Amino acid sequence: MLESFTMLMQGFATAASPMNLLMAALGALVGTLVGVLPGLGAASAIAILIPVTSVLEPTQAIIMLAGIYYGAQYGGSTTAILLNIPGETASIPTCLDGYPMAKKGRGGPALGISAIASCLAGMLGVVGLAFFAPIFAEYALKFGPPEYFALMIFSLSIIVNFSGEYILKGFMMGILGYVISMVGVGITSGLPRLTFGSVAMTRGFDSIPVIIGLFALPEVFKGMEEKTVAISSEKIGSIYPSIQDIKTSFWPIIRGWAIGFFLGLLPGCSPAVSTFMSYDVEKKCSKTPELFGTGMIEGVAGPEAANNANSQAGFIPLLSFGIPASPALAVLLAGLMIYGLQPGPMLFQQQGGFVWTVIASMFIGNLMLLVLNLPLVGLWVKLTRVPYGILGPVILFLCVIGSYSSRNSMFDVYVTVIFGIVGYFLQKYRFPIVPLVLCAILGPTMERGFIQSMAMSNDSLLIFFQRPISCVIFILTILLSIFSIKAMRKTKKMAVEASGEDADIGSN
Amino acid sequence: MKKSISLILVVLLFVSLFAGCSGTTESAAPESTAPESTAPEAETPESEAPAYPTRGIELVVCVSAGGTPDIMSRLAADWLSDYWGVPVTVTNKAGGGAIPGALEALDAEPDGYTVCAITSQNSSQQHGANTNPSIDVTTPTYLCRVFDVDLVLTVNADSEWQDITEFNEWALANPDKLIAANTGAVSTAAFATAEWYNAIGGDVSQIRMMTTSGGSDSATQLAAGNCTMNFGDFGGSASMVEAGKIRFLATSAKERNPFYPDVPTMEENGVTGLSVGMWIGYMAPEGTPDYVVQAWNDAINVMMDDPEFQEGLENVRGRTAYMNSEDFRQLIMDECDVYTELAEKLGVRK
Repeated sequence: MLESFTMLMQGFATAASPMNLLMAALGALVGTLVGVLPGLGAASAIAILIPVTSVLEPTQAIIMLAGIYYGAQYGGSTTAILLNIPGETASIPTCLDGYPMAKKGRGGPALGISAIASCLAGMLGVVGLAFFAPIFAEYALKFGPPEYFALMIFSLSIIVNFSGEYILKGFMMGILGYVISMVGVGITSGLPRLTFGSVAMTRGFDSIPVIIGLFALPEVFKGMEEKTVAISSEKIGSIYPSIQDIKTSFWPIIRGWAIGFFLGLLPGCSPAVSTFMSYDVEKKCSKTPELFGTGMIEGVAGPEAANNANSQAGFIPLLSFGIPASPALAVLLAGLMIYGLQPGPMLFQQQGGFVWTVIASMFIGNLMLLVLNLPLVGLWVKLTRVPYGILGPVILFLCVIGSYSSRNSMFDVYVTVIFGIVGYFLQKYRFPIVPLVLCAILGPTMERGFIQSMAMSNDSLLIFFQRPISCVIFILTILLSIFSIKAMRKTKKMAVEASGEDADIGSN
Repeated sequence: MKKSISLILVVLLFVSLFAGCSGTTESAAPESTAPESTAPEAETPESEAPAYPTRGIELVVCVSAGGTPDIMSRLAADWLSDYWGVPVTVTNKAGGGAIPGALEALDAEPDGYTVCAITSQNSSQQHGANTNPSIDVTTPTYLCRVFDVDLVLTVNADSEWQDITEFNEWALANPDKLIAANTGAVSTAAFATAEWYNAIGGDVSQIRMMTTSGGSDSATQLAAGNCTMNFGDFGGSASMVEAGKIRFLATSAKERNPFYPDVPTMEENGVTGLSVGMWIGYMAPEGTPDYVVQAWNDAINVMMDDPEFQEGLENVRGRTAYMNSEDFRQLIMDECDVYTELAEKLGVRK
């Protein structure tokens, strides 16, 4: 422990060299820009820049590429809050309360708090990274297929909370999402399923086009239908969050960090799981859960903190085992390999200087993100004042680019359009969209976890209860579901009593 | 009134989008720095062959970024961009067992500006596993084979097996306990496992397979003790071996791998007749002109002799194993028979 601290200090010394600082700043800036433009994700940006960075020495190149990665995680929240476009799955919870805040004229504080939450969680994440990386090895491997399956079931139990009062509709949407996730080539059979003979469908549905279609397009359609003025013609409010905002957000940030960081340690666990879970936890901790979805600052702070902590923690499985948690990290892994830096425990020993310099640069980079972005918040906010007649088509254009670039396929653009139309009607008839998206994303991991577990146990379902970690997760899932349903009924009753009419709780 | 006009506009926008973009796939190449510069290598002088390449080339890779074919192809693409002075852009079209991406690439204009990276998986293996394969292996224009990747059998480091002979004996005696990792029902790992188990005298249908999400996931599952063995490339297992979590037992290659000279071959230990391997080559749509094939072969030959390229390749533990167009086609045809037989034994031929 002490040893890694000394190494980290040395890392700071190297990271503070002008050239390395410049690289971190450049990476953070490019990353933010990439994150703000929906669809042009960190993965494609890093892939494009790897050949360009080959003029740099490895440490500088990786510092910059890492900067793009966490910069993009941060940037994604801007469009989520202002335009209701989650650039990636992990940003969806930010939309749920961030966008209502922007609509209410509190876009400034929402962006401000998301910058602060990201920065704080990112820095805490780096500290965690420095201390956990060396002792991580044993812990990660205990999480096998049965545990993953249990974790996925646990994640799905939060559907209940996302469905508001429409629990049955929520489950219907969840099953639909799961069916969508099954389209493509079957995991064990290797045969196409639910493809209706189409070659394009054998690649399955990528999550990005589905998300953009379900979240962003209906918003554009609604905007076109309802009004031709700007999203928010009212005052945006101060860019800097008030003392009260910061006070309210403090614990959500800490909780978000903890959730994001520890889930981030699990190799291959989607960052979206942590942001959804953080949102759910905030809703549970809140004294006024019925107000979530109407612009609660906790609903922005928690998931944003979780997202950034998760992206920092993702470096632990990446550097110590070469396991990437997200597509962007997979590209970064390719970058490391091209520079001759084979990830693994040996990397810490042989290339210690490199590893700790990169870690230290991430700490500095997160601080830079805050300094760079708070002043820029005003600029992003101005976006919402552009008349909708102009902004709408621009958003559509960005959506199309975003869905195309996720897999370089025109098929994905059609998918976005179709899901956009479907999403519009789903929202109109109050079908909750989040359960659908959640199942569509987690479906493959859940299915693989289940099938792998069956291979391990020779088709005995008992395996899920024989292994301590998965057993505990299953018991928690059951308890939590019972609690959620009860709490939901109670809140509904209270809301009905208070307002005298059938209130719409928590559905988006 | 105003809103209905806006709605009509949106509809029109989509209609134009569908009309404009269906059909050919645009290559997503960035602006070239020097699009006019001609290829420096000697063209075939007798024919009136047009200059090639004069604009960006899209190199389709059918696995996601970070996979072995992707890393190798990016290295080659980087080198070729410098050499030809036109951008050679790697486009990842992953998913669906690496088949839809290849089909899309083969559907492009046969002008040499869309090239697709292939491995056994989306050529001979898919042929062997299907009575009606999606990709007709006889039609594409094969450019050349460039890389070769050795496969190695690994077991958990805490296991009792210190060498391949011990493991072979145990595997034969305990088919019900053997769980082999693979990256798909039709995958190099599955075929390599089947071929090996067959070669030591076992019945493949008796053992269990665990399908993982990729080479590094297989290594992780093995390190955690969730499966018994894994057949993968050296690169995918190296981190876990260094971490002391898993152990190399033997490589199925004919010769020892230069980067891992201590790992014996299967043949040294009496397991013979293994041919399943992993290679990476390039193909283009049917009807691609000969001058394109020639240009690629010439350029790849210069590339393999470039010490700087070789150094980059060493960093990713890669190895060149060049085959010209004819030999490469023959290799694929020969492999088709091997995989058809193996797929039947594995019970995956559909």
